[in-house]
Amino acid sequence: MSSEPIIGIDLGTTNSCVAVVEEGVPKVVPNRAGYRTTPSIVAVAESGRRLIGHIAKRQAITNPEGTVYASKRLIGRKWNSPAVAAALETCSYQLIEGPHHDVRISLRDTVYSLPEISSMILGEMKLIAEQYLETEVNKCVITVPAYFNDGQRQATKDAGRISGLDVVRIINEPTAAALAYGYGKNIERTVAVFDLGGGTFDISILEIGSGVFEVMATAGDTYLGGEDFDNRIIEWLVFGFLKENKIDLRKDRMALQRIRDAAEKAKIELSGAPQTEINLPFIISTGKNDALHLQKTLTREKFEDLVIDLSERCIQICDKTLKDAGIDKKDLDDVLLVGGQTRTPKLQEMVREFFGLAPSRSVNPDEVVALGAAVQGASLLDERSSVLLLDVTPHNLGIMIVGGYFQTIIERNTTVPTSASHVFTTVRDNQTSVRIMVFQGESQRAEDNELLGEFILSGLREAPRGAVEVEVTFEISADGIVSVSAKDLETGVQQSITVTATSGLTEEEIRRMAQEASEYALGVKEDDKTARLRADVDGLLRDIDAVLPRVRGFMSGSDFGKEALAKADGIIGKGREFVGGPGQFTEDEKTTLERTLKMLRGVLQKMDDDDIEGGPPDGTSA
Amino acid sequence: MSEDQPTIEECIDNGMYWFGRSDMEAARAWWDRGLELDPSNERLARCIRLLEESTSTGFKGSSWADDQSTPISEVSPFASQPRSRGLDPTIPDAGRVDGLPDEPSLPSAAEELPDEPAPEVAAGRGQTGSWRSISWMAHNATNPNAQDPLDFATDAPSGDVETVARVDEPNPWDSGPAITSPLVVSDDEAFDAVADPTPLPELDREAYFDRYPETPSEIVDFLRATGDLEPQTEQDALQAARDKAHLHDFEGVLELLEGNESAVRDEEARALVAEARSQLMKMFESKIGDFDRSPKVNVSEEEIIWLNLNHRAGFILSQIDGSVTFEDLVALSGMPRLDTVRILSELLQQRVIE
Repeated sequence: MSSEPIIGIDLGTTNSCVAVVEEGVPKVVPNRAGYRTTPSIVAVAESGRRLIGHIAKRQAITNPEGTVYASKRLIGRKWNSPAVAAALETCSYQLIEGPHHDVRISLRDTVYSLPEISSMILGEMKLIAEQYLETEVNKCVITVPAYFNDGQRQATKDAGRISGLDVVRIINEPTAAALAYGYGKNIERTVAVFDLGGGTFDISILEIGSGVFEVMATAGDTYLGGEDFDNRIIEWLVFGFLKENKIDLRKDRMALQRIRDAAEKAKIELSGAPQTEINLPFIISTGKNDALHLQKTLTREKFEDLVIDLSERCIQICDKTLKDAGIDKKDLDDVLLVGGQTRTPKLQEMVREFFGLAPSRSVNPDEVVALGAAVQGASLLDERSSVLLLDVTPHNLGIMIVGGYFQTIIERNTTVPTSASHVFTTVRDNQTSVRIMVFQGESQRAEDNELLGEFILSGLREAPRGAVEVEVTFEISADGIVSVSAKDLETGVQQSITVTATSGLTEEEIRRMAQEASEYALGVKEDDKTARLRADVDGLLRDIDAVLPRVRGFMSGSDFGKEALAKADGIIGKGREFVGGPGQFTEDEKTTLERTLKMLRGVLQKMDDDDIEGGPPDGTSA
Repeated sequence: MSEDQPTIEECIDNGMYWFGRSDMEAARAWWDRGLELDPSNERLARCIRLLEESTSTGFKGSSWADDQSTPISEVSPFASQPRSRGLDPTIPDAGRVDGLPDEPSLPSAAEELPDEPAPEVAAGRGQTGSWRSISWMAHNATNPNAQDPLDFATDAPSGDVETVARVDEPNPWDSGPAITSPLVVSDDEAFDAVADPTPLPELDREAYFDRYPETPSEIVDFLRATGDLEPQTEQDALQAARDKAHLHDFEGVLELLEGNESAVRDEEARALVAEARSQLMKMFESKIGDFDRSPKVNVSEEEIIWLNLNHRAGFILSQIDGSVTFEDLVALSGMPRLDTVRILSELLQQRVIE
């Protein structure tokens, strides 16, 4: 295996997770606070300080305008897309249209692109991995939902690039989950991946055979997730409190923040316990210098009652997906659970009932996707690995034909590089030109799919309708670049277009953002280093303070001692300045301080050995 | 007050002074001392009854202060210690003798004064430039003719208090004459420019206590009229803020000027506010020390409920888990930095966190 690791990153809507394979074993890397997942939340505090992860989550409600959450729902989307329209209705942060019809976010007067926001989370994941592995990390595999289109995948790649990571492969989340469950080794299975994360629900049916993972069907709800379950507990708490105290806690941001945190904690506890206590002292002040406390007991039964409709919705989506894809439940060999919310016992019971299969629970549902990505990363490094995922086209590619219908030229899940052709005819008499409109998507109506580009082939000979044949050829290179050409088969006249997936950022923008992110990361590393140095110096000064007064009296009696003390005082003073404020201090100076402490301790030891209480050696002031 | 033993009058007056400044503990200490001297004193009994009623109804400590300035009442050295004490407000116990609270005079000026701090100034005696008085009067807020005691004290023509105090229509002063408080004094330099030469009305203590406020709303009015006088004009506010700044009562400066729309338009007022904020920030930050440290909660979950916190302090406390640093807490609080560091320094001081 190469010495340069490839980390696996599950860049989730609500939480992200990073994993790496060490000595053949995939492992999740905990963050600095010890958490194995990190909230995909970025914030800019009032002071301008950038906050990422847990700390950003903890202030999300008290600083709603300065906090970006669920940015994954928007990455790679066009400004006029339905997803952005929905986000405009619900987002607490400000969305603005970018220069390339993309989406940008304004945070405290600075405008960020979506890949930039995602790059901050990826950068944090990179940092977590680097601290754990104690080496620089430059390569990664990132997972995305199976339904992500080229633009969304490209935007995710750009985010990786901005964060300083070379994204060696983008893989589908259900595929990663299946890999982590151990389906990489010549197993032929059909599995359902039931993924209920913090903000989204996805159900995917995968056909696995000879190391090839084909997503046969995928569907879901991008606005259904664990947070909706939390919200039910929040509502229960808030309305209960309102009834008892006539105070609406939702009107106080601090109270609501605490309730949200407590609701999530309670939900997690209820997965393992029949009931939980929710205890929030001093939740709200009443204006009389008295504060009220919120104390409630929530039972699992009550919680299940509160969220039963949400659980049923998940099952309904599964049912519809299977029916739409023409898949019989009996054809499924396994059901894999992904996402923290699937820990809920009632939900597991409902999944078992619906599929008629006990869901696999051998892998932590929060971590399974990242682990799968790490497995894929490791297999890319190991030539002997039997796990080989090939890049495939995520969607059907084709053109619009008469009547507004969509004609597929290259089927989705086709391994790239590939090419395919199809012959069309004119639809009107004496038609001299045709407009080739290139789309990707699964809908039979072209307008429901995503337009990738268009061009006109002109100079066709005048002839009755159907007499002129035009051959349309699609080619996808190994880099994912799509070329579409149209050729008049009789005259040989040809026109073509090259389509590259774009995230909405120009190359120049990406380079500039990468440079800025690199400088920011350097600053963070430098700050961490300074904080560690400051803590070390502070500790040394405390040790020095413990011995110096006694030693000073002893040493100040001689010229040599005075000189040594003066030098010691110099470095001690500089150390205090550094600990107390923004002063400078080098590693060399820290070494000098260590030597000073050693010297003082040596003198003290000598004093103790000679039974000297302090003061100069001649005993004049001992 | 004599050096050896305070008189019953002094105990009552000093207790009243602290009551007026919302320091119930101090008030109670003085009145208890008075009870030791005269256990059957009815006025003292009334005072203590009032104090007990007011604390039992939730009016305790610095209840009246703005939530933002006193997130942790009663123990806040800046909010509940007397504004007029001057010297170092960070040393709450400075100057206290024999377990009793400070006398209501400025220690810095006390040396220049007679042994006793002259708890009242009788009408007609006039004031010297080194003395300044604040009238302590309960007034009935429900009476539309009620006259603000401060106006009365400052606007009364020199030597002719009666003409102001007695008006044709019935007013609160008719049934209960005003009294003066124990004096708030300062050194000459500080108050020369603002010394009010207006003589004060003679104190009728008995009448005063007959009118002593009973209900919470009366207590509110009473405190407004005494401890934390709300200046009536922009100039009053500015002058009071200057005085407080001089006494290093920076919280007091903010209380007076922040949110006072007319005052904040004044350049000097803005400068005072900025200076007060800066000084307070330095004080609180120095108490916290290294902001990269991660505080820990020092009390058990069961004990937290017995602390005297407001919801803002409760929020900060709930975020402390041993992993977040002080700087993180400032960032995630959603409050201005000054408010957050104030709460943190108070939690540290109370040893709720370490």
